[in-house]
Amino acid sequence: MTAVAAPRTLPAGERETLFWRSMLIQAGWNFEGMQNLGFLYALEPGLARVHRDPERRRRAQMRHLGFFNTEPHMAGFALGATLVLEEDVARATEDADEAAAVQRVERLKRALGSALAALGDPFYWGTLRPATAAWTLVAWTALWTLGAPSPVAFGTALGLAAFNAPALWTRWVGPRLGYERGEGLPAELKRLGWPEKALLVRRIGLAGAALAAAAALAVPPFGGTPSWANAAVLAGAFGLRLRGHGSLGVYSALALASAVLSAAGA
Amino acid sequence: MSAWLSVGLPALSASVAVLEADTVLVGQWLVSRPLVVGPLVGWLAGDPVLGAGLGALVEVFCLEELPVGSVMPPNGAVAAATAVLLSAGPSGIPPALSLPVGLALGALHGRVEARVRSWRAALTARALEAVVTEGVVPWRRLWARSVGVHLAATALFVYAAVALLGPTLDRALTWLPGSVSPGLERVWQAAPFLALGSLLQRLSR
Repeated sequence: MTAVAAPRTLPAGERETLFWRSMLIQAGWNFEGMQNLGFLYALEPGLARVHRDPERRRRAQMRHLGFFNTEPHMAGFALGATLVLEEDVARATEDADEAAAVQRVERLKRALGSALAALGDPFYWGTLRPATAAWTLVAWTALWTLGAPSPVAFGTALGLAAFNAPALWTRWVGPRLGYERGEGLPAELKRLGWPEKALLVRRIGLAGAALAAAAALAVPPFGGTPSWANAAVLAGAFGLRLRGHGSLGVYSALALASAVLSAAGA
Repeated sequence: MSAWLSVGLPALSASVAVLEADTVLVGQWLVSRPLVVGPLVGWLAGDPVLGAGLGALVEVFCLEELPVGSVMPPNGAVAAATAVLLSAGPSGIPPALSLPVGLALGALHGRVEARVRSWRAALTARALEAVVTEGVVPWRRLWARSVGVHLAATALFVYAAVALLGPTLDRALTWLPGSVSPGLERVWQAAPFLALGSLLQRLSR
């Protein structure tokens, strides 16, 4: 019969420390180490607990000043998982054991950096941000149409809350899950189903964008007098984006063409 | 005009720089997104509706590129703030023109940011040195330098861009034939539909 090790739990207070310190994960962002300074800053109190030996602590600090980069809201997972493996480094009694444990830490950090970015970037920046932008516009229009006071302020607050609820939740659960799962974290991340969640948010966002477009075509100040020209611009912009043309370029070209045509008296 | 240049614009530029720090450095709570910066700067500058309109357009235009790795899409906070300040400030540049100018300034801010990011690499060496000699990194001092330099660079950029481009564009508009403005205005009226078409495509992928 093999004994199953009980999952380790993050010591009291450390989760809060990792949560708050992870807000500065990018405060020292640079082209060489990317998030290296922020990573060490967040991890340092944990390292001080784990490594009682000052020389080992110093070596750990120096190691964590090496390159690290991931999606910032997801960094907590990597912080927790790194901390639990640092405990193995601290427990090593022989140099060879310590070197092997250090290698595991480095390997996990490298793997998690790219894996977490591959999940977090499409979710937060590719999906949640545009989806909350669409629903913020819907909220502005709805509150304004209903005659609510300060529609822009309230609508914007709703949009910020919609983005930050999952973002802060991820930052809060990340260190705990990372610490508990350690090297088993990638399997746990797979179980959480980020791509499926992203697809759902994208559909909700698309509904918001469609509603905002319909409102812009039908409701003043932009619409109100259904205009085929406005609908054609909307469809044209969609088509041009499909072909990879940026809106800024399209806007600038249209502005230039319109100004020249106006000056020419067309 | 002098009160604007000596009090109003410096205060607004500093406020924009503080909000902009959320883009990369602190939090990423999206308080730096143009949907927030536009209306807020517009309200502070006396035209919240214009701020909301410009903020919404800049937001959607800036969504087309993702800030992953070392990619720096046009800075939405700087783009929205400069567009609003150029239009709501004493120069009163038409939003049809301040929108593309603001977006260009947002992209140009990337150059400033790239310099600051390169400079920050030296902070790793400082941290390493502190670990070796003292065993602790003086984080407060380090963050104050890292964030402080970024804030100062952004505030200076916004101030200089609005203070220089406002009167320049204002003068340029008086030289251009009067019929140019209606042409720009037509495109401005179409801009929300251009942006929404782009947003729909972004979310339908």
